[in-house]
Amino acid sequence: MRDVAVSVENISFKYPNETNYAVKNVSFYVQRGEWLAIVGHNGSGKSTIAKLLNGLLRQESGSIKIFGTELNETTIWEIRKRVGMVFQNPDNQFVGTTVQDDVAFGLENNGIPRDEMVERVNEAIRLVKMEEFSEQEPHHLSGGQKQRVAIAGIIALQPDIIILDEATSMLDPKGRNEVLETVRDLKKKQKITVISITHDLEEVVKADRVIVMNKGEVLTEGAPEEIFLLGEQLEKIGLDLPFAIKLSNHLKRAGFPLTMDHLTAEGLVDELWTLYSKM
Amino acid sequence: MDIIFKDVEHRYHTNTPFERRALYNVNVSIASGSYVAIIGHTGSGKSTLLQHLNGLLQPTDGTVHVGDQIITNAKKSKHLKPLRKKVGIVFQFPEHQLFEETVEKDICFGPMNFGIPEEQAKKMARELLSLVGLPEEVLTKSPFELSGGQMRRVAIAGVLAMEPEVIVLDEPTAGLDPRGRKEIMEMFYRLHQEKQLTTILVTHSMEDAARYADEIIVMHRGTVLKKGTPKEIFREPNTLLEIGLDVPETILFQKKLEEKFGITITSPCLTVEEIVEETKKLFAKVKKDDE
Repeated sequence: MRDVAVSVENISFKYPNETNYAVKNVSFYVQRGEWLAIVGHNGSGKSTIAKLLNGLLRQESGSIKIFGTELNETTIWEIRKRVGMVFQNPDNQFVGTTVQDDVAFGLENNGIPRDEMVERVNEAIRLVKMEEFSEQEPHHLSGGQKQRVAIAGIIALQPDIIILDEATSMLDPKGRNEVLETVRDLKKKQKITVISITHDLEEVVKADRVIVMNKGEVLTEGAPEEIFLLGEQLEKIGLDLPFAIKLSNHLKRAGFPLTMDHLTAEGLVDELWTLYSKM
Repeated sequence: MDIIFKDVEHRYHTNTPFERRALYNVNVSIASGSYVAIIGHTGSGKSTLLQHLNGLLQPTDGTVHVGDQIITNAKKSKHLKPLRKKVGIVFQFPEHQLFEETVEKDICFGPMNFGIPEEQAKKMARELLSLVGLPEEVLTKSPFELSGGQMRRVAIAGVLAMEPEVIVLDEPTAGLDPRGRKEIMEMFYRLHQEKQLTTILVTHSMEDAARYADEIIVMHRGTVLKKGTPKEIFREPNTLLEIGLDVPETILFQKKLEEKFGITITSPCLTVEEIVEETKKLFAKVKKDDE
């Protein structure tokens, strides 16, 4: 038996007053220690899935199991301790008057002893590189800095599963890489399971597995290299393609006899060089 | 309206233990009617800079000229009301500022606050809606029934309702999917041209900066590091990469191509088409040499 962190079976959900289902018959699983990326256009149901996984919304039908435990009204509080979630807009999730209070909030709620709490808070703030700001008010920080603090709050809680709902969308590319590296590191060291809802292609390329959502349903799933082979099909549903794939297409149309669509710029340059040398 | 920053400094929480210098020695000008992108990483001072444009923040030293308005440390903020009308800011996640019962009321709120009669404001609301690409039916809907992308368009219409001459966009596409991003960026470019606005875009997307801006201002640690056309800025990608900024993927590809082929392409490529052209030239040259 595989070590399954999350198993979702046939869940459906509809918002009040809406005719269409936001999530329709969705099933998937996530293994412990896996990094799963969920991609899809706005309104494809990605964020709804995140909220269902954490019990913020309740599915109409189907079941969600977290480490084998059915998510329901009695288990929700225990499960929330194991599932940490970071939302897209950090403004909606600040409670503390300083960065360190904010990061400590969840730990305080879980009754963590003070000494341990202080240590975990400092460590989490250090990991997201916000030490300089630990005494400042979260509301005075920039969008990207706020996202770092929100992520620190979850890191400090040491959950088994982290759900990132476009949690790095306001960071610049360098900051995004740093934060994601931090989470990747935690994933490796502590076998944390990560579910990341994102539009960031770099992040998708580095995921273990990808699920593509379209209009509330799972369109396809697979390893990143398999997913991007879908090419124009992804563009049709409003998603982007990695630059090297787009350029490969353009070059082919311009008459360059490339043998494949390249996922990386290096691969493409190499093939161009091969073609050039043969001329 | 030309915008000129002269020796601008901004400190938060002055005379407290939390004092922090967010901007210093900022000297930069933005010509009326131009499209300028401001890039810089998190905490480089971009957001602080743009809040000076309509007097939400006043410099702690130096002066900001916006048209004939001068913002200094001394001036009381009540003198800045006319400026607020001329400079519209679309903040990050502007849909969070929607609050009225209907879309129509929300768009009319600003103009009516500045004394425009209700009928005229409603007429404007109708026109603006089509300008931002929404159907007229949404006027009577609650803004909260709309999708995220639609809410953002309503919020943008609310800013345009003030008929600003300068529009400041702070990461206007954060949280949108790739198609939504493209639609919003194209919409702003169209508005820029049709309404002859001065457009200031704060962005992390080097692709958008390269595609739309006449000039790019690079902010670094609270001051202006560089200003120039996209070609000038991206001609030396290493300067940007060294301070942790990205460069357009076309530039990165060009760099790799140059290294592999041992050549130098004189003009920086900012579009996929330019890359294709340069690659063609490269291959054509070999053919010629063979003949």
